[in-house]
Amino acid sequence: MSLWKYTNPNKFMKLTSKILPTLSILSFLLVFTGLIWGFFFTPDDFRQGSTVKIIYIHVPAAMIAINTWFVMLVGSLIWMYRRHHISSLIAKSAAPLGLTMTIVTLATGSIWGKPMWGTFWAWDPRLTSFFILFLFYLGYIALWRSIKDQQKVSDLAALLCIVGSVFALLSRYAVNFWSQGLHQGASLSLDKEENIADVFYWPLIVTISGFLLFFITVLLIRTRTEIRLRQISSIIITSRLN
Amino acid sequence: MPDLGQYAPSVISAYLISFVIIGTFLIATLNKSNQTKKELERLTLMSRTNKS
Repeated sequence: MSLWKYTNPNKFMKLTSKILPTLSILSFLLVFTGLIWGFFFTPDDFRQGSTVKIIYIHVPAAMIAINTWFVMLVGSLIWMYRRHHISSLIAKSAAPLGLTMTIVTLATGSIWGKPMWGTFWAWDPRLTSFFILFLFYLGYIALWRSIKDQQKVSDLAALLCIVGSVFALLSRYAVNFWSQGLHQGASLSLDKEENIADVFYWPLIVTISGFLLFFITVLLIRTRTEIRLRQISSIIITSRLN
Repeated sequence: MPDLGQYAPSVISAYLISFVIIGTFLIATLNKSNQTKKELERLTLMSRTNKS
């Protein structure tokens, strides 16, 4: 069985209509459980007090914001090499979701920063790279809206996505590259000693899993909408020709 | 409700703002999806009627 067969729009629509209900329910359950667990049943941090509860929204949103760009990058590369329209539509559909999560990350980070750092904003490496990522998302969405020729805009958007990947990478690793910033180190790490305490770790993992499923669910819904929009424009063109 | 102490406004506003942003985005996504689905069904039916 080849994965490429799902680049056929009909097969993609059939498969996604089957899995979407389960995905939606699972993502809701996981996000709900993680947030309730984190908000109501975890203690305050000895240094950050109750603001640590913001972590259950801030960290999953930040992870989705960064990784959405990598999903877009994979979609763009597949478009450039194999010219599958679905891959380009997946990249297009993911961008508004990435932008939303970037806004949530910036907003919750600022709110968290005020009591901890004494300021809503600082030109810290991680904050700045995230702000640039936000601008790239805006530019990418604006590019899709500004050109009507679908082939041309898919090519240009793919190029912009490849360039923007540098900043997505910087956002991910800024806390490791530069240590002089205000932002703390990564909350989750493969190195167990660098991880946050278990009492915060497990609800965070549940929330991240929920956000990940939410991302996949919304991405599939948006891609299905884009496929339908293409079908609508093809029906309109055909009817005009007739 | 847990005792959030002096940081209650920060924690609650972070959650509220996030819910509003994500909720608005989700509603917009679902609305557009429903509208597009209905429009495609309408056009498909129309084009079939015209053919026959």
